[in-house]
Amino acid sequence: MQPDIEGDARFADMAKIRQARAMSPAEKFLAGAQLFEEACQWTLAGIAARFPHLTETQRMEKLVSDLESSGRHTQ
Amino acid sequence: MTGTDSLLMLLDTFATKGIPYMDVGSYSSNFYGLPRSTRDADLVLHLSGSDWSKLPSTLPKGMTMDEQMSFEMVTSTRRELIRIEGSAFQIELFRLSDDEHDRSRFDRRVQVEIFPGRFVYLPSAEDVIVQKLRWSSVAKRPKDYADTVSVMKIQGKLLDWGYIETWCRTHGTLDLLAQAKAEAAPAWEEDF
Repeated sequence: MQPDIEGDARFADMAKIRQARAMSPAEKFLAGAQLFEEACQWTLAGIAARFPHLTETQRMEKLVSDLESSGRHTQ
Repeated sequence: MTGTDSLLMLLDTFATKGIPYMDVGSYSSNFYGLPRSTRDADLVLHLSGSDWSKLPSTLPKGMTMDEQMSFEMVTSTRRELIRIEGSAFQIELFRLSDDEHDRSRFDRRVQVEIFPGRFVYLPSAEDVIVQKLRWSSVAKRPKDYADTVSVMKIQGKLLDWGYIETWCRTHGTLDLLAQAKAEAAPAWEEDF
């Protein structure tokens, strides 16, 4: 890695670490699901744009089905 | 109902019914490390076989248990999936296995206050690292290794490294531990 890129990457990494250390227990506990739900809203909007005939329920079913086919989830 | 709402409702149900649990997987690594998006919550429950069969009837409204159960791949413990109405979020339930480390981390689980007066049970940060390295070694999922490094970066100097090394020796993951530790170490240069 170029020295300036390496320095920038390290700076960005440290900023994330400082941010995580400053988070409250509630923020840390809730962050994962909130990030996922936000991503779902964007994905559902994409599904609605591609398949305008689908109902809200059908859009959610398609999202779940796409997630299922993208890999199993385990602990 | 959002994933978080449903999880908190379920944990309230467990508290009311006196069902011992701990919230493992990405929830625990997010708590101790750098949070990342997660589609599911993984809960380990200490329940007898007969109590387990009563579980579907105790679930809060809007949650259903999949009819087909499966087995987790590292300790072969029973796994059940709870689906949330109107959400892509899901909750996975694992029966506490007889695996030595599974038992140990359950015994050492910690009660954490996430909101004033609201508590959840999580494994210790050390046990998150031990388990994630084990999964990384067996299941070869890159996210388990990344979660390990993330927890080490945040918790670094506070961790009981002797405890971690003891279990990693048992699981044959000392090499992975050394690799992850070397990756995380630069983050400890700043005081915290």
